[in-house]
Amino acid sequence: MTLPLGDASADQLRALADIARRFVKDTLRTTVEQNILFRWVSEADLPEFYQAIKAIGLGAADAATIVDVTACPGTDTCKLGIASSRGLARELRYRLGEKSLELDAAVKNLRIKVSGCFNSCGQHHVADIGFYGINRNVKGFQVPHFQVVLGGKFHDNAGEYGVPIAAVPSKRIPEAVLSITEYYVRQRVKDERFQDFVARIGKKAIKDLLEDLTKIPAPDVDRSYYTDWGDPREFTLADMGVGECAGEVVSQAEFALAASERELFEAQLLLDGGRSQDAVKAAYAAMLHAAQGLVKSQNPAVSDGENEIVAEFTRRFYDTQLFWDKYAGGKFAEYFFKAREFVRDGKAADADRAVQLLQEAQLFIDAAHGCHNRLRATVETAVKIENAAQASA
Amino acid sequence: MELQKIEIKFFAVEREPVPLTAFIDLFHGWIQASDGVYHDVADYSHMHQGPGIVLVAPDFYVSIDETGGRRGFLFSQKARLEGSNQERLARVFQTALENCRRLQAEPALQRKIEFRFDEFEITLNDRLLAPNTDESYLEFKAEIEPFVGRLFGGAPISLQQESDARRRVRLRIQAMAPVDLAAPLSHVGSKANGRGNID
Ligand code: SF4
Repeated sequence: MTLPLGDASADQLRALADIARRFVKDTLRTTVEQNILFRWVSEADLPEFYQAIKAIGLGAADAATIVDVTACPGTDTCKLGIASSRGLARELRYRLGEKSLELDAAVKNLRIKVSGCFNSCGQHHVADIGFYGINRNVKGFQVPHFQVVLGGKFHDNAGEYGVPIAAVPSKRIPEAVLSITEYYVRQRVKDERFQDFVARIGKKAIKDLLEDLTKIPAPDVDRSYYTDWGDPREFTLADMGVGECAGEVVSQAEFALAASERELFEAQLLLDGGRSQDAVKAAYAAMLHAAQGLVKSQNPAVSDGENEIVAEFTRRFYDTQLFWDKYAGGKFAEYFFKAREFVRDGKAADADRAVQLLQEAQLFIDAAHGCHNRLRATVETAVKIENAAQASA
Repeated sequence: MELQKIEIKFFAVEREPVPLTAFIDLFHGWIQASDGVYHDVADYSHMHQGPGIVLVAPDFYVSIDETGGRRGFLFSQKARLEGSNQERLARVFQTALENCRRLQAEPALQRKIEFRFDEFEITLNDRLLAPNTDESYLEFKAEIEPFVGRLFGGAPISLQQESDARRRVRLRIQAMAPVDLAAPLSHVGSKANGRGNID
């Protein structure tokens, strides 16, 4: 029995208790999919049972389907939330619910799970289609995005984690879901499961499929993309750091961060091709590039030399704790240092180690984006204060 | 009985249906227009007869509530209030009415929705202070009756007790004659600020 977004009112819960007493001897269970499970309802009781749950608005037929999206609290109530996981889940639930009757059975059985940040409380990593919240800088604005994670296994005791494919602006995620599921229906072979489909088609093809959806119109064309679900607050033009002397430096940093994501994606393709060792090296190179991007925001003259980048990153971002996540501390930077050691020592990487390292590389790059956005906001605030001071002088 | 965590729900009369989600942007507008009085909006529009759309302030909630299958404006005092029970009731009413009146006048709603002031519910949202027993009910009624009597200028009223003992102590109050918004406000007479506290 589905609870939309895992929510139930006190009246519904009291009624559920009554229903449990009436049909299943006082016992019910909550599930990891944020639903309620009644066990051992006798077949003869099913019609009455259905009428009873329908009467309290919980008779929807979409439990354990793609419509039944699971989400963590996200920005609604969680201080760690980056993007609105519940807002996205609500929107997906609404849009998929409208199409529910016409959905292909293979699509209907998929699971979508959403986390508001990399901490994965929404269990996006074991969903067919998972999302976790990140932020990206677009044209000088912070824009809520979700990292699209595909191919996680919900069955087989969550036997496999999904793999990040692309960062898509939050407001374009419903289109991304549509695009992925339609592609699956068109391209799958016989009864091919979604995980097998993702593995066969390959991440590059899916990334290409989503490429258009990673772009959004300029803020003066459509500002809705610069807001999150259920929150109309937008960034204003005053938030743009137009005309600052740091402009060129910022764009260099952003350029490097974007490049690092492309490189990490290449690393994933290598891993898919069974080249774990090469994948690890490529992932480390992507991390190095992200670190260099950050360093460039403070020292534009930094060279491409590995030692110099690592030393500068350590001195300017790790030792100063500028890179530190408010809650995770220096963990993401340590992934970078560990990857460096691993590659430098020439250790052999089996597939499991390579998967782990690539996931850590993704988290490092996300953290680099986060750090860059924080610093940029600080610079812009300082410039505004300075401008205001000059104006009033 | 000490009255705390008082909730008041004024039922809605809709000339045209207003989707719950319309209140999200509207309440966000209140956040932006106020200087820290309100600070968040919670969306429960996906729920059946749920809390609807909730505007969160540090000391109280304001919401378009659909509990019980009847839409209404719910004011829910969270922070503890000082004073006598009658003073607390007056403060909560004052703030609830001000917020309700403001919502009703929102241009975005184009007067599609209004709230009844001749029929409302008062709930005590604290089971420790106010368990739902006959004893609590009698004490609660003894406080409410004179207050509502003053509020409606002595017009006859009916009081109906919440019948489900598992729910919180609640009274539904109905004036036997029509009451408009100005009347209750003029009879409340307590000076309250937007935070539900006395200035
Ligand atoms: S995944 Fe992140 S946003 Fe969601 S509940 Fe966990 S820590 Fe909070």
